[in-house]
Amino acid sequence: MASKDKKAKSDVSTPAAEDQHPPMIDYKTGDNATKNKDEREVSIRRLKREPIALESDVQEHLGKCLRDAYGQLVSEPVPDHFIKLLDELARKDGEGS
Amino acid sequence: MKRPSAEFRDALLASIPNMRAFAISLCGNHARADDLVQDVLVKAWSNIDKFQEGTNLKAWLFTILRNTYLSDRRKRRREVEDANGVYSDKLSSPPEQHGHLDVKDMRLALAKLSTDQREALVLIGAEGFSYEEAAEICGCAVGTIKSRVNRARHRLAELMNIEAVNDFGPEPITGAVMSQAAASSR
Repeated sequence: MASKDKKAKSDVSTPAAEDQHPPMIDYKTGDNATKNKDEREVSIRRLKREPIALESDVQEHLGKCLRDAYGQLVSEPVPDHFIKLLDELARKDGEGS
Repeated sequence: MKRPSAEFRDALLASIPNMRAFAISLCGNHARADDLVQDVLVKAWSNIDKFQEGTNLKAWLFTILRNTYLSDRRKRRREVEDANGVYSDKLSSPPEQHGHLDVKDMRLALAKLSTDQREALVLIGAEGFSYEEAAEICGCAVGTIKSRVNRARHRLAELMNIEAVNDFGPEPITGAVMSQAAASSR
């Protein structure tokens, strides 16, 4: 009974248990994390590394994506009714004076 | 300049593509954007005496456009609570625009920004206005524009970043992302 409990909960630092529970688990649970400080740091780095690396990629990518997306809108042809409207405004203006 | 000249007509015509793009960015809806631009053209024409020659015509037109959009939106909100409907048309881009995945992702991400952040980012990052010009168009302080652009960039990076992670991995956090996006969009 006691040995079962031990295996299930508190014996995280044995090699077998570490295989089952990657460092991320240690990071989350306070006591175990202090026990396995090295592993905790590894897991923190693992958690942080990916977003930071991606961030610069995405950041660089971002401006271009924005200009591409916006550029597509700008390059849409001007609908005829705008040209007609402007001509109409100009015509009325000519008549009015 | 008392009476609109042929030059003014040509200048207005030349500015239509950018006004439409900005209007679509604001309201996310092609049909409503065209209505907006039409209103702006008429207003600009009848208020030409208020435009100071030699100043930035595009900035002047964008100011009118933005103000028109906001007052229309206030009216609409009073009629129908359409806060979610504002961007209902965001996916219905014209047929020739379906090609590029990044562009589509960017549209979706932009749609999740607040109007304040989106307009600031578009004015600075896409239209190439200076911070001073953007502040004038939006009727706020230069520092406000800077902080909105900054927050918009971070938010976009976050949204695009999450999507990039999904691209590389076997969809581990899609559910979380979707609910996060739903919670933060308004």
